[in-house]
Amino acid sequence: MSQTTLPQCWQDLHDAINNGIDRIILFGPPGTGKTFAGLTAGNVQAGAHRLICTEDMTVADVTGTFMPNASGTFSWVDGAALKAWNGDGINGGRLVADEIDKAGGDVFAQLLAMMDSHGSATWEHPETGRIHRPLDGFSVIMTTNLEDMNDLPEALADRFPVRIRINTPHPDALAALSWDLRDVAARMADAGPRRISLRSFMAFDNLRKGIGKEKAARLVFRDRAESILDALTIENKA
Amino acid sequence: MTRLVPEPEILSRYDTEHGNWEVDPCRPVRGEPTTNIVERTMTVPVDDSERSRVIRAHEMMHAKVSPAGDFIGWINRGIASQTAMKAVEEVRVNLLCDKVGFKIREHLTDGGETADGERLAATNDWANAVFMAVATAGTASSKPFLTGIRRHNRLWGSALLDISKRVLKEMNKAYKTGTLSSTSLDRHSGLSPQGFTHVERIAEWIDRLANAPAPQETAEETEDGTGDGEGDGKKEGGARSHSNIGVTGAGDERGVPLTAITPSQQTTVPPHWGELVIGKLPLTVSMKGTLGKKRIAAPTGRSPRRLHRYYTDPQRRIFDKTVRGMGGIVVIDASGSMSFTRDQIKKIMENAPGCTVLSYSDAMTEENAYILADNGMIAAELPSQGYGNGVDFPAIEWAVKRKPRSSTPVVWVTDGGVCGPNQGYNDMLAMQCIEYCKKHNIFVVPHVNEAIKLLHDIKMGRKPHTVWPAQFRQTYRNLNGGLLR
Repeated sequence: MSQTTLPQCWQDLHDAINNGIDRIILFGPPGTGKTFAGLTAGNVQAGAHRLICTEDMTVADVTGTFMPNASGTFSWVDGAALKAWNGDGINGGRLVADEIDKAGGDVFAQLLAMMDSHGSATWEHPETGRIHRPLDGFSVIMTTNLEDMNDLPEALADRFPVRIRINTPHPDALAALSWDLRDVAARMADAGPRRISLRSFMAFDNLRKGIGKEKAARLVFRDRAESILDALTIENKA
Repeated sequence: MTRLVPEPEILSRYDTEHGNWEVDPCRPVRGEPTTNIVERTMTVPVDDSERSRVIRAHEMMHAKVSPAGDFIGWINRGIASQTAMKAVEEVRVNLLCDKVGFKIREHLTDGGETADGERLAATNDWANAVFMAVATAGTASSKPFLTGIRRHNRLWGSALLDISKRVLKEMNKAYKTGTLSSTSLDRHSGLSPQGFTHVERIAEWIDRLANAPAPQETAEETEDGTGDGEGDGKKEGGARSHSNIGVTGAGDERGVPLTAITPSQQTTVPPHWGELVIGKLPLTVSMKGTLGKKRIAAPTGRSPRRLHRYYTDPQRRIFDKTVRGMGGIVVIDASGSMSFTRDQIKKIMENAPGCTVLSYSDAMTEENAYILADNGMIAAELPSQGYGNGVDFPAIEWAVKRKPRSSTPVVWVTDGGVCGPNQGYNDMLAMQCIEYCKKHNIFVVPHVNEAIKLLHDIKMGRKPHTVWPAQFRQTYRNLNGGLLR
């Protein structure tokens, strides 16, 4: 990612990662590239593993489970957290946990254990009995759309002292848009009830090249199309 | 029904922070749609009619380009009135809407303009008629408004149509500069948005038009000037081919032609004054006379303290009355084109005991003005001062604020070459000084000797007279067509 003229939130993330912080929460409106940043920001050479938390997920998604194999028996498959612990075998990898606050009770408890500090975090393999510990370099970036960090469970909040609100898409992501939409997309990503995601602008940008801006706006923005087009006219032509 | 809510969050400005807006619906009626940039609130019609769409575009353009928190700063500059700036801002916003493709000329109307025009003409409210004509210029509201005006006063209708056209022409000239919609900080005035400097300049002209005597029809015109008031005013009034014909008679009571009242020149750097910084000089030399009270003989009173006068005074002034020295405040332009000596300052004090004398210039040092004399004391030496002017208006403003009594005379000694710091002579700044002097009864003289004579006249009870400098007279004639009196 480029290091020049970064918006404050992205600069904060880089500063935190570059100064050894390995437990970070990225929160804020959807569509600003929090997960992408989690998967790519900093040193992720040992691998980055994404875990999308839902109420229906199980501990198996976190640590692993026995799965049927080609020989008709069962073999152990590591979950995302365990993969991140082990990394490339030399260094720990990155665990990117999306919406951890939405996980069920038992999964949440397991995740807390896996995200614990290096000295405390251990897990026993059910087949081999081997005790696993996170390798050096293991890091966790958690993303959530929650706006109030006080809503986080206390145990989780305690493990993540650095919380950064990502309120604008990363400049590298915006660079994919046509110039007239870049600043607008950055502002609208955090426009409260009338926010428009970066993905919508990307769709609009692609569509308008083929079918014209009126049709593209109608398809992407629906009943807001006329107002958005009028606002874009005033913004870019006045 | 489809609800079309505008999207002000999409708009950006250099002078305000981006944030979420609160948008509320209203009827498409003049006065109801509003935009508050500071509080980020907007009230607009949300139906899907064309009229509502241009109203939304109009309010969105306000959100994009109009002054936010600095509007009070523009008012405080004192160059144009708040009402005039608001009217001209409407023209700027409407012109920008028109330029980007919104059909302002066809749809921006609420249907009540004809009645507004009739009311203003019927109540003889020329100033508000001018402001309304300006505010509606270039929109669908203009024609019905002028129609309403013409139903009561055909000459006004033609004059206001002419003003509307000239305002649009000026705004189009401003548009060509490429800065009309700029929201950057104007570093000269320290205010934003930069595009508003054009509004201020035109508004200063509109103020002069609004304050000019209203055009009046001659008896002959009234007799044959009746009609239905419809049309665009180009061919009305028989042989009258121009709006201001009929008000041009030299020396009549109707003033100068409105066409002679013109806007000041557009400049690349918006004219502005410097900050008045008054330095302290040691006032060590005492002069005769102060501002104190003095008893003199009077023909009427309560206690006859001077009975001997009953026989010796032909007017038998046996009573006392207390008179107070008038003092005065003399402001002297100490720029390179002016000159004065300490002896002249002494003479000023002899003729106006206790007066305050301030000299100013566009000095390169931190201080650009000095009090040379005050309360019976005078400086032993005059300080060296700069070559430019820089703070003419702040200096006379200071003098008016310092007046101990409303009757204290204020005298301004200047050759009229007023200008801001590092700027050339500017008509708009000159007009600001002229208007201020007229409003506050400041006596203007081009040389210190004339100030001495003027103060002597006041002392002797004679009526003093302003002698307007040649540059002021020229500017006034250029911009207003008439003589500066």
